[in-house]
Amino acid sequence: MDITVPHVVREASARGDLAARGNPARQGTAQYLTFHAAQATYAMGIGTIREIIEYGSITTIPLMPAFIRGVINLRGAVVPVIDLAARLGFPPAAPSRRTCIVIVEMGHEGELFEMGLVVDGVSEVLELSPADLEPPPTFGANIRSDFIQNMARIHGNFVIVMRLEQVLSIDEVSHLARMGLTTEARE
Amino acid sequence: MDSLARRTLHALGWQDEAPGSEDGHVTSPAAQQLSVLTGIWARQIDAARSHGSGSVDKLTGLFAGIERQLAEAIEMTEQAAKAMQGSGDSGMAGAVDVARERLQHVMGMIESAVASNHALFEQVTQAVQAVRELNETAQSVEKISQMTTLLSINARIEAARAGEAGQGFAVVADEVRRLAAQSRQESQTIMARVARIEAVIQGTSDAAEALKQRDRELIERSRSDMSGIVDELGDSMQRVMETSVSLCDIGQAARMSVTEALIQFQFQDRVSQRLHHVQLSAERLGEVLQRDWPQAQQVDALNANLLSSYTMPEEGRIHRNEAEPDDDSDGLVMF
Amino acid sequence: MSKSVLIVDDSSSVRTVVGIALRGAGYEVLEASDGADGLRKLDGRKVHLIISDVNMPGMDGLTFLKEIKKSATLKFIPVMMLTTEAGADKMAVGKAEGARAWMTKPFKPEQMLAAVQKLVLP
Repeated sequence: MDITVPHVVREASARGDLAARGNPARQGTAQYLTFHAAQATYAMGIGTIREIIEYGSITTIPLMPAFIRGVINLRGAVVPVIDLAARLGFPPAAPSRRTCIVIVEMGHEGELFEMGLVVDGVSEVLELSPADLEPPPTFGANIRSDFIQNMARIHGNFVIVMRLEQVLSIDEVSHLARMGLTTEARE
Repeated sequence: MDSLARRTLHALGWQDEAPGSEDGHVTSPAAQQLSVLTGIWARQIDAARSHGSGSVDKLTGLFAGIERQLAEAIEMTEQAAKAMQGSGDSGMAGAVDVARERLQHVMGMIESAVASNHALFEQVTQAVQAVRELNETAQSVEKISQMTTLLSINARIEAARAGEAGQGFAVVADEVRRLAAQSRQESQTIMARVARIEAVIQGTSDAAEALKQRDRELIERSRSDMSGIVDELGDSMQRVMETSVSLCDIGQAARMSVTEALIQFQFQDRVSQRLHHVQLSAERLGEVLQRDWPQAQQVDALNANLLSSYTMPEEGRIHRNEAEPDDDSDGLVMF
Repeated sequence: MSKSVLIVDDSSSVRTVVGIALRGAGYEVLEASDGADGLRKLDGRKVHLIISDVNMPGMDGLTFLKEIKKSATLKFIPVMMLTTEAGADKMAVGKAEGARAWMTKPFKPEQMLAAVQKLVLP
């Protein structure tokens, strides 16, 4: 791939993308990452995302619930890795070429901890305005309601925007870990 | 006395009329009977002679026939053997050589056909290899595009943190991601196509392999079959030739036997003549006895007559009761 | 062209035997049963040799020989006598009348053929 920055920028300008991004502080817009897990597409705000890495080299830890895959060594730091599909109550993800680990930063009792989230693939980062968002449905979603932040209209479809603080709530996760039980997170 | 007897006596140099012929001399009955007996001797001898002659003539004729047939058979056998032996393109031995040569030629052609099949097979194998490499390349491209996508998303995230300063970078990152997605599409299409090609080539390769194996077996069997047949043909011909040589030898030997037998039959002539002389002598005695018991001079005359009728030295020797000489033959005198 | 030989003998078996021997050696063979028959067979035909018996009914061999030697056309043909007769007097007559050889029966084929080869007209 031969990418010349001015060339790309010229094209983006022609598409009007640049204008749209002109003011990062435009009212209410935020950037979201779309990704796949358990055969569905979800989104999450990129605010907590540090980076996304390829799937691999997970050291498993015995007697952990199924949704805790294990730990990885990320530049010297030990980062626990959660299987999102299992956490949501679905069968664990079968790793493929496109499987990634999304490294996120979660706060707990004033400290920041890094955790990895195994997903089936990442799509893109896009900007959504409040107009694109809707409150979560009262029923009919097949994951825990407290995992859902809101619904986003993306490319004509509705996508669940995940509330990561709940999905990766350290209290809950460590509680579950201590219990040494697999959990069915469905209600 | 009848006229025959009178004529005979006259021929023997006697008086015209024997004493006591017409003066009422009574012929001795015993002499008369003996005359009859000698007549019978003469007749029997004559019959035996002509019988013998007749038989021998017939036998000679038959043997001559056999000899002719043998000659013919030998001639035909020799011709047949010559035909088989013929050198070059003529003759069956030559034909076998030609057949062998043609067999080699055909085998050569089959082998070169098979070899070009093998060459094809080699090419197919190489094609399979090339396709595999293509597949690996496509997979690498896919992998690279995946990494690029991740990279671009990470860049996007960094750019978002950087706020305004990261604008241009965010755009670039997006373009990179878009291009990565495109190239992944492409590489997936390629991989799909490659998979189809691979399947086809593999099928061809398998078929070619099976064909190669079957060809090999077929060639071997054909070669050994044909070789066997040609060899058998050669052996048969060899045996036929040997047989014909034996036939010729046997034929020649038989022919010689027949010729030998025919020569022996020449004796018939001598036997016939000797019997004839005896027969004549018996007849003369009979004529004498017709008149009366012969006088001593008459008997001497008969004796001398018989002696003079001989044509063969052998007859004289037997007459005089002499021993046979050791070597009788030296039958040819040149003048 | 093979040479031809006339064989004159009243015995058919003798003619057969001589014929076999001569044909085996490549000669063509004519047959006659007595002297007169022989003269008839010679009329208008060229032969290269004559073999004749002596004792035959009809015209005997020595008479036949004399007749041959009288003829202007036939007198050059060599004549061989083949006979049971071994008498010296008959032999002398034959020699005097111009026979070239005197052979007694039974003959040895090799002997006869050797003589034929020597005597036959070229």
